[in-house]
Amino acid sequence: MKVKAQISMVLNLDKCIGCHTCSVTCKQTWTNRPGAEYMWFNNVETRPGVGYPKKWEDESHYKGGWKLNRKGKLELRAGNKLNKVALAKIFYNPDMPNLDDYYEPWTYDYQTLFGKERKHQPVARAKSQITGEYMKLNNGPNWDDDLAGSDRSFGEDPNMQSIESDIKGNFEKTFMMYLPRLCEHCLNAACVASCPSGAMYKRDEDGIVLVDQERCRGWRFCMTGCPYKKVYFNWKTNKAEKCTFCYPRIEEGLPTVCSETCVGRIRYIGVILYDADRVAAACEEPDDTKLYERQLDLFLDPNDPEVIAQAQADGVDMETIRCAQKSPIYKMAVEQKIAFPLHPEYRTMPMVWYVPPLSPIMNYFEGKNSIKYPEMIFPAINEMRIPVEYLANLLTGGNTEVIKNALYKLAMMRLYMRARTSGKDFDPEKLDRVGLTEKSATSLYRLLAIAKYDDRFVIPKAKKEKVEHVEDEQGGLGYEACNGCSLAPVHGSVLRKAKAGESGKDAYAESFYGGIWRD
Amino acid sequence: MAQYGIRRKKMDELAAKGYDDADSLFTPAWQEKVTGVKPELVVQIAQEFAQNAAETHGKSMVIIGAGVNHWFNSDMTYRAVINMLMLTGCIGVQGGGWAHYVGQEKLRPAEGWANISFANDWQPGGARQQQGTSFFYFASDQWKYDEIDNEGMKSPIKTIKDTFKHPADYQQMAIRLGWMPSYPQFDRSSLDFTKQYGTTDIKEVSKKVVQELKDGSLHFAAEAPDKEINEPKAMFIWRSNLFASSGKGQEYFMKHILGAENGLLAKQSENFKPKDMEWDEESVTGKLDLAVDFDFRMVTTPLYSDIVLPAATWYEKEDLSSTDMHPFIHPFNKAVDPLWESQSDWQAFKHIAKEFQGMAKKYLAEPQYDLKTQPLGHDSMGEISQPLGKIKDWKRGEIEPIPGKTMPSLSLVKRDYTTIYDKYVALGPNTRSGKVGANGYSYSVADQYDELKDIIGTYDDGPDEGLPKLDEDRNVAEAILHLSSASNGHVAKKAWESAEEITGKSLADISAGQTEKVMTFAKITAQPSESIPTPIFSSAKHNGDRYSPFSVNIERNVPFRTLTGRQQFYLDHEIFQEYGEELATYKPTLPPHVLGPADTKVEPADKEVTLRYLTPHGKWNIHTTYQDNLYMLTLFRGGPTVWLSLDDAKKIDVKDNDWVELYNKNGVVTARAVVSQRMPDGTMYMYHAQDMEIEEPLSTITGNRGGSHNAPTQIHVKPTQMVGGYAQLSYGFNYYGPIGNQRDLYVNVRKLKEVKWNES
Repeated sequence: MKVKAQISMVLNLDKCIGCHTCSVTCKQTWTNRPGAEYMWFNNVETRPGVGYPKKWEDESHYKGGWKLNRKGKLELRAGNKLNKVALAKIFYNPDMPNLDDYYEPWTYDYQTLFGKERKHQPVARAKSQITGEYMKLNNGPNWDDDLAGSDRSFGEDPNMQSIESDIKGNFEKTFMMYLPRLCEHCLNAACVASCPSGAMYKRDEDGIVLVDQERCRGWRFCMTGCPYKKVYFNWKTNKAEKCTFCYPRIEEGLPTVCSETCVGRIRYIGVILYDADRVAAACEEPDDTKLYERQLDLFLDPNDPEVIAQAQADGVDMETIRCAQKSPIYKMAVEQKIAFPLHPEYRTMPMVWYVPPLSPIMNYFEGKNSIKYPEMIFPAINEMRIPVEYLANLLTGGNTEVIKNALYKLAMMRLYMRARTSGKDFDPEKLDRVGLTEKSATSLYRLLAIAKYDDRFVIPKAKKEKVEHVEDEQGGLGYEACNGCSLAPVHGSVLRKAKAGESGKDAYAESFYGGIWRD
Repeated sequence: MAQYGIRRKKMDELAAKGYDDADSLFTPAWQEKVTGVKPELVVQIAQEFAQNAAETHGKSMVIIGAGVNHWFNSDMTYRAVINMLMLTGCIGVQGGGWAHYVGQEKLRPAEGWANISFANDWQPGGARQQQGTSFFYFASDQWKYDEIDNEGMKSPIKTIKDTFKHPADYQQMAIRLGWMPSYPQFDRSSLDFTKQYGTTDIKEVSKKVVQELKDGSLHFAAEAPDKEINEPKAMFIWRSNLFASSGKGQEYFMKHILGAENGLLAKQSENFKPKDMEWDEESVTGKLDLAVDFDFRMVTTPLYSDIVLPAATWYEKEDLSSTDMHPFIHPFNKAVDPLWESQSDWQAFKHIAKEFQGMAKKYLAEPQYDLKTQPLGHDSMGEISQPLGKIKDWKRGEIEPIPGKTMPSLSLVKRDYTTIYDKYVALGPNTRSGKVGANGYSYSVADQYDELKDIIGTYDDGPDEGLPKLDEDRNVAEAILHLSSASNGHVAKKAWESAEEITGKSLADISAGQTEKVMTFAKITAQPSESIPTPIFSSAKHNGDRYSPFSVNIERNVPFRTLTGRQQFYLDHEIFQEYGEELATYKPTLPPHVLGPADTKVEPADKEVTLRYLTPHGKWNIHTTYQDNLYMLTLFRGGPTVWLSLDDAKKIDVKDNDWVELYNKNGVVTARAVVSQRMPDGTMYMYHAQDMEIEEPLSTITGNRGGSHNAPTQIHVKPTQMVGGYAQLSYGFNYYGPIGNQRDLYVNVRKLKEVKWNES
């Protein structure tokens, strides 16, 4: 057993209203720079839909993630490094989304709105941020919002392919849900495995996956490797960029920007302890529908004295262990089993999980009294507007049973709380049938309905003393270090570069990485 | 009651045979034909709603947003829902009842705000207020194009004498009987009356005004909106994108108010005219001489304004915020100072006041006596001045015109324009000597006034010597907080004591624990604070319970502010009788009407479909704000779009993202189609506040720029909503008057043949 700590996230889709606040605050923080115009480290997709980039889940096209070879061993779908060199793919890599699969970013000619009176009222037209030319808008990062263009996109959602139904084109049976997405910070990250330069790395202390901008050579194999298409290529710097899990905030014990600003408070962040020794074996589980459970099986009980002892032996600090013990992620994923990974069949062991949404019941409750007959939920879950199969295709590699069990739990918890707040008796046996007790149902209610900031975000601060000499750092950012110019040393480096003859603009672009100064 | 299908006697042939009786009105089976909702579902929801109310003692709630109230007959729907809540005992119960979220109008620190906002600190009752719907119905000449003959909406069993067909005639009656405000008031300057009559005695002036109205030498201005003297000439537009997102009937605004490029296809009615109005065959275009707009974005209204003042955003100023969505009072704090030349609203108006004061010394040096009309207000004596809901029209000789009783009240306001700025920057002495309050309660805030001198400081010398300073935004916020019962526990205590005295009920305990709670700007900056319960709103909740409307009426037996003092199912005013709306009933939507026979002919397209045109609130903007923001536009298709069902799109050969053109008599829009199975057949959406300055091509029909989402809309006013002087059916600022509904509308949709951006 080798214990490692992973910072991870759960998104409760039952509460996502699709407002895209997460996307906007993320973009404003990280990708509002030249070269990053088309990047949305965090985006929200309406499902069914094609997502962003277009049809990213179609791995037969993009060749992302892992597969098992004939020997049952794990292998990158796009081929290993040798293979890449041998096939000269290193100079030409076809398995990658191009700009049209994302979208051509545009802006507006707002200045035309000023000036003299003209025959017709002026309009600001869309202009490409790439070419500066007027452009016809025909794609965007959220083009199919709320089933827009569903005549096309509904059928192109890979998750709909295996579902036999008459939902497409049927107003009465229409369903939709929102899927906010960010980097999965996988345990078995395909992007890291794909990188020929060693620039992509998974941080030892918390599992956040990052790109070393100094080492990145712009080969872009990470983009192919990532089955979630969450690594982007900056056309200006020619380097890869991706979601950082807002590590500068995480190091201070603060949630990511997307989580902090979430209007529906759907996001939870916490620590998971897992057994790194067993990851490879779990990834080689031959049955796609069992991968979710194999991943779950890697997560360790943070209260188990043996796990604690081993964690400490493996260098996990006590504060991180304490956070793991209070982790909302552990509660939802392991204890209650209501959260699931996105596309476990990609075999990357993703660490951003989702609570599946409940949705209106199509037929069962109509004309029947759902309060009187809570057991109606058992047949009713199959009649939910969002087909269970669809959720299973997204979240469990097709395993519908585990999804159903989670939905039963969520529904039963509501019925129980309803009975309680309206002063009614509730047969605890009904809770028992879905694996709940009165206590656990209450605790689940608290976590899902009213959890406060500190319950939703349980994040250990970085142990800085492990990576720097704390005594030496004292006073290191003061007056002297920046030549009395009152700028921090990182800023000072810009001045040094400027003195060395670089233009201010170039020095700025070089040193400024998405809101974080890099020296 | 026969209408309701209820069995009243043993053999009642009008009684419904059961829920499944589709032939009887108002049964679950009958409604399916109207709504398309399955009867079983209606029965189930109704039973569960009622069952829940029974089990929880009234904790069933209806939360309703903007949507229902944008239909012509929405008041019927609202009353039906409220009736259901009354019948299930949910009104006034915490966790139950009626939660209506439209606008952000729960202005909690109300007394301080009203005091400063309307200059009551210097001169009570000097401000004029009117509902926008009626004002713009006349000002933008939409009344001349109105096609709604009210005859078809009336009850077959009740007729009243001297009734009307044209909605504008009802509006005229409402104005002259004092039901609704209307400004400008008369076809004479309100400053001229005392000069002309040679007296400043209001009794004398009133007598002469009444005489002149009777003999026809004086008219209400609204009777002839196109007469030069009655036209609006200058307009300050502030916090509104009037000429696009808020102006219903945009193209009428463009043509008649602005005289600008427009897409109006309608022609003035020839056969359907009001009888009590002056009809000018010549239509007036471009009534405004001056439009001054405050904005921080170049959207339609600034594009069409003569002067645009750069406004500060909410991240650049200090302000207060309170809404009906939550019980807290929040501060706005500056993140940065206003950029470039922009200024907060308070500062901008301050500069205008200073400039105006200087000019007044030259042009209006002497104090002026301003004759002001005022409608019969709710919570005033006027609200019981027209008994039994009988219409007595002085114009037809049915009663004498008596100001404040059978017509608007009259008062003289002495205006000294040479002190406007001095008054603007100081809190006037009337706040100390007079009283504040609302809902019929009033109380002194003299102590608070004196405390404010210490809190915000006073002027050492000059015209405002010794008066509290309102020169800075933050001081204004402090004054509002300190003078209001929702934010100052001492004022709340006085307010409840006033309420106790008037109602005879024991109420002071409601705010008792919070007397020491005194909000300041610094305190609510550190932590926004929950407002203190006050009788100027209707919640009796305290001890940490949430605000619940009408709980003071239900729990404490304080009479409702209605004719009967109770919740009312039945309204007996004659106009309600005339329209058969004494009780809530079903009224269908207005009939489909795209173009009238006399309107501009539109060359037919090969394929065209007529659709119900709805403009619900979208997710990429808050009204007009953010709709032109690059992120918002990037996140959804980058310009004006309309949503169509799969089948409707197919009928006109339109594919997703194709350009379409839609029109009716009111105007034309060019936009790209969003084809979605989320849309039902026969209905289309153009989400609210999609403006016309971004990606909006020219129309092939008019050759002009396509309009905003408001181009195909038009104001339709409903007579029952103009009733006044009758208890709860009385005018109240921001609360009462005909609604600007815009959902009972249809458009023709076709492919846009050619996408052209400019004249070339």
